[in-house]
Amino acid sequence: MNRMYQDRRGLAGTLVLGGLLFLIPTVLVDQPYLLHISILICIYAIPAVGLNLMLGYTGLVSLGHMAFAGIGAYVAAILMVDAGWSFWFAMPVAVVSAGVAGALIGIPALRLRSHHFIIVTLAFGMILFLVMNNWDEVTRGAEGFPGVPRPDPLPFGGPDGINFLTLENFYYLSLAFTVAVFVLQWALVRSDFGRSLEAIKQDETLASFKGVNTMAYKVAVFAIGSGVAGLGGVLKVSFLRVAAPLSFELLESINIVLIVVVGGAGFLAGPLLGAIIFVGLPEYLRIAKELRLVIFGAVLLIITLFAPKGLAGMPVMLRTRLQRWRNAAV
Amino acid sequence: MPLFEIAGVHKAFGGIRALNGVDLSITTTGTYGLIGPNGAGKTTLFDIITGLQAPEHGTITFDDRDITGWSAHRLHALGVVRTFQECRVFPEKTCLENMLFAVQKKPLAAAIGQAFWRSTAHLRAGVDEARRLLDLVRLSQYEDHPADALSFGQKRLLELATIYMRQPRLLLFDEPASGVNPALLDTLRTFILRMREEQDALLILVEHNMEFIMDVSDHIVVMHQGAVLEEGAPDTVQSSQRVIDAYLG
Amino acid sequence: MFDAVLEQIINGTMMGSIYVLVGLGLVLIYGVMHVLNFAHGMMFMLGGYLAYSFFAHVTGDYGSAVLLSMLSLVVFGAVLERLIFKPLRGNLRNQVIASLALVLLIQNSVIAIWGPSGIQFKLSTAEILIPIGAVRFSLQHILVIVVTFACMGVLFVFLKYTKFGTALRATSQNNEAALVVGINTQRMYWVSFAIGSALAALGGALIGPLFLVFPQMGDLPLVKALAGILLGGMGSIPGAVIGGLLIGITEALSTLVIATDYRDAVTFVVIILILLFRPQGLFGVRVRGEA
Repeated sequence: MNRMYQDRRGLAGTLVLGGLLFLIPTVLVDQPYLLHISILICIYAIPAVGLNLMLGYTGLVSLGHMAFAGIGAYVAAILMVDAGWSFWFAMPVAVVSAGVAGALIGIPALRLRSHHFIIVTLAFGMILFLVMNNWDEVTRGAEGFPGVPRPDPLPFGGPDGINFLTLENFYYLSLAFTVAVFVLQWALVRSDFGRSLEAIKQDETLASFKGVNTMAYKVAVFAIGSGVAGLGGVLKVSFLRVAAPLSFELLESINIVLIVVVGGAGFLAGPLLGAIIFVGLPEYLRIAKELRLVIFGAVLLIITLFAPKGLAGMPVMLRTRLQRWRNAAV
Repeated sequence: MPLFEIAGVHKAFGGIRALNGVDLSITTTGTYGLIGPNGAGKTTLFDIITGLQAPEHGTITFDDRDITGWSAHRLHALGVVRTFQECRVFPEKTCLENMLFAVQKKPLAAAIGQAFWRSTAHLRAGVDEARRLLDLVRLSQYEDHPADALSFGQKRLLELATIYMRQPRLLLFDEPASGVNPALLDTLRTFILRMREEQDALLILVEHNMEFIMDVSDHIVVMHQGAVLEEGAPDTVQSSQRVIDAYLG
Repeated sequence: MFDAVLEQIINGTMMGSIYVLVGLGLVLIYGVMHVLNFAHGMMFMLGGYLAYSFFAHVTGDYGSAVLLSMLSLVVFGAVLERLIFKPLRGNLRNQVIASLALVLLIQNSVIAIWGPSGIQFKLSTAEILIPIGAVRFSLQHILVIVVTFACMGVLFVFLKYTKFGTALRATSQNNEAALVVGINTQRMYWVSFAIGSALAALGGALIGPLFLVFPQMGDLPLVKALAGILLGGMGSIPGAVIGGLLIGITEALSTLVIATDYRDAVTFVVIILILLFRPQGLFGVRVRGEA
C-alpha cells in the first residue's frame, strides 16, 4: 500500500523539519528578528493547515478562509480585553467559535455547486471584513482592537512561571501549537475520515455511492478547517497584541490560498513549506514589499501551470515524470 | 412480500414523458436483464432507484423498506450499489485502495475518531478479499497502480470488483459491457456469473449488447415507452411477438 | 426627499452601468468558457490606467485614449487566454487559482510601476455639470450611461445577427454540439475573453475621470458585477444588464436608509441570498445534474 508509505514519509519529513525548528531559538539566541519571523511562519502555517484540509484534501476552494481566523481573533480579543478572561480559557472558546461559524456557514454553502460555493465564501469573507472594520462598538473598527495580552504565565518551571512576554517563550508556544495542528492534520488524513475526504475530492458523486455522506463530511472538514484558522487568528492577535481587520481581509484569504497551493495542496508538509516561502523567503532575500507579491503571483501562476502539486509534491511529480520517461524510452 | 418492487413510477422531463407507470415486482434473488429501445426509460429508472432523480409518483421498495428518494450513501449502507455507464472509479486511488474503500462505511463521528485510536485492523481484514477479487478480474499486477493508469475495459472490471467488495444485496449495472473489447468481455461475463453464485443478491442489468445480456440473465424485463412491456425467461422474451415488434425486429 | 431619491437613482444607474459593462464581460467569459475569472477586475483597472496613460502621454484626446486602452486589453485578454486558461481547461480549481495569481501579479505590478496611491484623471467632460432636477451631474456621468447602453446595443446585434455572434452563443449553450457543427471553439474562447476584457477596460476608462484611478479600483466592481450577473442569471446577457442595473440602483438607494459604511454589504448580502434561494437568478436556467 504505497500511499500509506508516502504518508509516513511525509510525516517523517514534517517531524524532522519540526525538530529543526525547535532548535531555532538555541541557534538564533542573539537574533530576535529571525525569531520574530519564525513566529510569523507559525502564525501563517496554522490556518494554512486548515485550508489544506479543505482545499488540498477535499477540493473545496474557499476565498474567505481568513475571515474565520478573524472570528477566532476577535472573539479572543473581546473575551480577554472586555471580559478579562485568561488566554488559556479564551483561546479554546475562540477556536470553537470559529469552528461553529464554519459549520453554520458550511451547511447552506456546501449544498451549492462549486462555482457558487466559491462565490459565497468570497461574499462571506467580505461581509465579515466590513463588520470588523465598521462595528466600532464591538470590534473597535478600522483602527484595530488594542491591548490584547500575551498568554498568562504558566505556573511551572521556576518561581515566576513561564511568561510569554519574551520572544523565545512565545516562539515555543507557537511551535507547540503548530506541531499539534500538524499532528492533527496527519491523524485526520490517514484515517477513514481522510480517505473519504480524498474520495470526495476525486469524484464526489462516486463517493456518495460508496457510502460517504458527502454533505456531512464537507461540513465537518469546513468546521475543522475554520476552527484551525481561528487558532491561527488567536495566536496572531496575542503575539501582535492588537487585532486589526486588515489581517483578515480578502487579500489575506488569497495569500493563504497561495501558501497552500505553492507549498503543495494535499500534502502534509505543504502548509509549512508554503508559510516558510511566503514569510521567510522575502525577508531572507530582502525583497521590497511591492515586488514580493508580484513575485508570489508569478510563482503561483507558474506552479499552477507547470507544477500543480506544489513544492511538497515535487518528489512525486518528478518520480512520475521519470517513470513516464523511462516507459517511453523502453 | 416481494424482495424488490417498483410501483407506479412516473417521471417527465419538460414535455417528455420518460416513465409512464413502471410496475415491476421481483420476489427472489437472481439476475434480471432490463432491455428496451433507446428512450424506453431504462437509465431514468436506474437514476430514480438510486436517488439521482425523484419520481413524480410511485415508490421503490427493497427488502420491506421504502427506498424512494433515498440518498446514495443511505442506499449503500443498505447494500444497494450501482455501476455507471461512463465507468467511475477513483482515479488517484490505487486499485487496492479503490477496493478497500468500497466496503461499508462507519458513521462520520466514528470515522473521525478512528484518526485517534489508530485501528486499521478493519482495513487489513479486507485486504485478502480485495486481492482475491482483483485476481478474479485479472488486475492483481495493478494493485498499487492508480486506477487512472488502467485502460477503459480494465476500469470497468475494477468498478465491478469494487461493488462486489461491498457484499451487496442489490446490484444495478448500467451498461457494463459498453466500451469493453471482446477479450475482456469474457472476463466480465464470468465475473458477473461468479457474483451471482457466491452472493445471494439481486442483480439488475441494463445493456444493449443482446448476446451478453441474454447470456448473463435469468430473467428479462422489456421496457417500451416508459413502461414494462413484457418479462420472462430470455428464450420466451426473445420469441415474443410483442417484443420483436417493439425492439428486436 | 424626492431630489435625494432621484439623485440616487441616477447615481445608481450610472454605477449600475459600470457593473453592466464589467458583468457583460464576465458573463461572456463564464457563459462561453465556464471559467470564473477573478482577474476580470484587473482588466477594469488596467483599462483605467491605460486610458489615463494614453490620454496624458500619447493622444491628449479622451475618445482615442479609451479606444486604445480597449484595444490593448483585447490583445492582453487574448494572450492571457492562450497562455493561462487554455492549458488549464477543464480544471475549475486551478483556473480559479490561476486567476487569483493574476490578481496578485497584475495588481502589485501596477503598484510597483505607478505607485500605491491613485492618479487623478483630470478631464474636462468630468467638470461640465448638467442640472437634473435640483441636483447637478457631470457630463461624464451621462456619458457612462449612454456609452454603456450603446455597447449593449452593439453587443446584442452582434450576438443575435452576426454569424460569429451566433457561433458564440452556440458554444456557450453546448460546447460539444458546437464542435460537432464545426465551430472553432478554441477561437470562441479567446475571442470571448478578449471582448470581455475590452468591455471591462471600457468600464475602467469611463469611471476613471469620475473618481480616481487606483490599483484596487477593480476589486469592488468585480464583486458587484458578479452579484449582478448572479441576480440576472449566470448565462444570460439580458440578465447581466438587468442585474447590474438593479444592483447599482439598489445600492445607491440603500444609502438613504443605512450608513454608507455598510453600502457594500448590500451587494454581499444579495449574493448570499440569491445563491441560497434562487441560484439560477431571475432569468437563468436551472441546470439539471450534478455540480
